[in-house]
Amino acid sequence: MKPLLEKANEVIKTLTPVVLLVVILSLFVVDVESSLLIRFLIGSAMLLVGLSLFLLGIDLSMNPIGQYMSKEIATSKTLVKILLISFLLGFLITVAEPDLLILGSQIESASGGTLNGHFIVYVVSVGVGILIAFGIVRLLMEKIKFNTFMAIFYLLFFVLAFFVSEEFLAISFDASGATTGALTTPFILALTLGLAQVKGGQKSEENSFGLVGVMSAGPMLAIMGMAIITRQNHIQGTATSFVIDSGILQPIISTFKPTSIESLIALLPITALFFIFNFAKFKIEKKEIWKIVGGLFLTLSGLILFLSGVHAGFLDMGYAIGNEIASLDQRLLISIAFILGLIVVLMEPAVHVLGKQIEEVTGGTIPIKLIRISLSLGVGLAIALSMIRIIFPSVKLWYFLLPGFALAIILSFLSDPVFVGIAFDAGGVASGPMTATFVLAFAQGAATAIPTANVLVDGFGVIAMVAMAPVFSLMLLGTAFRKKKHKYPKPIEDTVPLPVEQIDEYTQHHILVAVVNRGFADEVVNQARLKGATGATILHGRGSNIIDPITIPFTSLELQPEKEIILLITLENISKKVATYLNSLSHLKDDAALKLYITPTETKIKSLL
Amino acid sequence: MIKGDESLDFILHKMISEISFKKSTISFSLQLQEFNPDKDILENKNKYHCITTIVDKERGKEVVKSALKEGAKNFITIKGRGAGVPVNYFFPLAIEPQKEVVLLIAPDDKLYPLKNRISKDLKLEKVGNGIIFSMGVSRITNIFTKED
Repeated sequence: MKPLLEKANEVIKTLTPVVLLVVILSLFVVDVESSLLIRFLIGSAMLLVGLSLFLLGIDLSMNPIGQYMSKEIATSKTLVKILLISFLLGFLITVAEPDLLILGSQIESASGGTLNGHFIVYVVSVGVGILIAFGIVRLLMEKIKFNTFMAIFYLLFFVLAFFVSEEFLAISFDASGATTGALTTPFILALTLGLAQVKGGQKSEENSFGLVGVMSAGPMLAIMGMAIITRQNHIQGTATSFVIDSGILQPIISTFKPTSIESLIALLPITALFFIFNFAKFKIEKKEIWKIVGGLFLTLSGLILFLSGVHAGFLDMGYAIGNEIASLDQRLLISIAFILGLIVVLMEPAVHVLGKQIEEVTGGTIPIKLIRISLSLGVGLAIALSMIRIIFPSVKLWYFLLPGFALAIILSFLSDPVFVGIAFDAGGVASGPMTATFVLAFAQGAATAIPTANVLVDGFGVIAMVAMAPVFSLMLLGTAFRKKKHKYPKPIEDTVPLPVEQIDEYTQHHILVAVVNRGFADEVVNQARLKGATGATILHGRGSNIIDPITIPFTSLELQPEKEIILLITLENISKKVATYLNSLSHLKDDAALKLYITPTETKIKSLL
Repeated sequence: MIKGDESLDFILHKMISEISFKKSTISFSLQLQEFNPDKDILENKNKYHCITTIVDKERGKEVVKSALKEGAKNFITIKGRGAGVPVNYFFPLAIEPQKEVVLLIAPDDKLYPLKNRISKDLKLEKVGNGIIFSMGVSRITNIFTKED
């Protein structure tokens, strides 16, 4: 029960501001039916329970599945197998994504029937599969840097963007938002983390992020390519008019069934693939399997509750508020949109998952608060700009989109490498189910109230903006972070020697404890092995710079140096040799700030010889 | 980890015991010595020991279970990774298995019973199953004793 309460606590923190804002707006500013408000509150309660269950389920099921899968991929002995499994993973999870089929049918009607909805789903899934395979091979090979890798795709994307109309530019972004759904994003995040852990090495932190970003480039390229090949230039047809459901319980019950089926279908491929592999390869213990099955069940029930809460409670509310405010005052609309963006993005399920992963990987070195603030500011700005675009039709989508991405790509070469992956991931992470329902409905409501706006086109563009802004804002943060990081003062040496005594003759081994800057652990182990040391265990830690702390301007957040602690057990007779050798290496002393401690230890293991 | 000499050690422990609530904080000083080739290494004559067990991920719980049988308290589990052994995969990567490090503070008389029990229960005699070793602990604050 305790882990569930922890998750609930985390969700409440992000849910409360949204509920407060909506309640205040609907009581004092806009005029909405009381039944709608009650339904919104019921939806919020469902969302709270659902999201807590979902996040717990992800921890219990998706993370282990991702880790087993990534180990299987990374330890393949042929390139063909790596490519095949990763393609299959990317393809299957995308094909099953319910949002994508909805988008497919939307495009089918928008293109006047020349493009088949199911065909679009397959094309996009193949695109994702190919990109996931590329992304995984890049991660394992490490021949190309991640920022160069992404720059190639975005360059291709800029070239294609010249040939397609604005409508299809928006739709292609929407497709990438649809593929990075509530389930796929956590799974791909877990997969990336697993791969980075199996691979290890100096770049393991940077490699722990980025695959979601790679994945979201797939649908964009696929849809744009398709639009060019079939010469689609303009969107036909009109958006179906939005009908606000009446009543309190009826809409909740009616969304329950389709949502359940959608969630089940979305969860199916990952589950099936895992059990097939388990049968053939992993052969995990029964106890572990039951834990994962329990986690999957929690994930499913949480997802159903969450999605039906959002659909029944948030969708209509978003539309009503957007519509009312837009007809009241346009300046108010822009500022409300900004605040809405600030707080809604933090409720995205994938944002919680990403936050936890960042904390785990960097050991608290990158403050999560800072990531959340930049994410919020980015999305808030994106939605405010979208409102400006709706109010003034002369402001085009690509005015923001192309320069935004171009700047993000340039910044990715200046930014701290860990941030590059996080930033590209953030685009997919931010455009999740909350944005796709609540924010999109808000924008559509506003567009309906403003006579000059085109509901269909403007609606599509919002997700594109939400997908772009966090990439830009986090890249900016990463650049600032790197500038700060380089100014670490050298740690002050403390040279108080301990009193000297004799060595205990019964002690067989010595333990060497080496503390170095993050990334140098492998070098230390390699050098120690040259002198006869064997195994080693590496712990992650962070230093604490009290004498001259580096803080980020305007905040009280401190940047702390990352450290690695290496435990080396060596035989008594060689420990001195190893220690002297390590101390004599100048590059370890200067760059890694190596500190070496030694103490006798008694160990039963004689096989260390 | 904070580095310090005897007197700093004493002051710090006193401060920690004053500010922290019992049962939620534990601090101990390892008898570590900064390496100096001209000096000999200290003898381990401490009354308490830090038994460190390094096993594969998810097996840390088994260590705790096994040690509980001997009436041990004060566990800390840390996640770490092994340094890896190169194997012939398609990509030249060393598999670096995830490890769990269980730290366990035990008094002198419990040292060998605990070490024997854990290494027997987890079959640590077999190569590759994990290792167990102990380090001297020179000072300790807020430890659970049997009377608590």
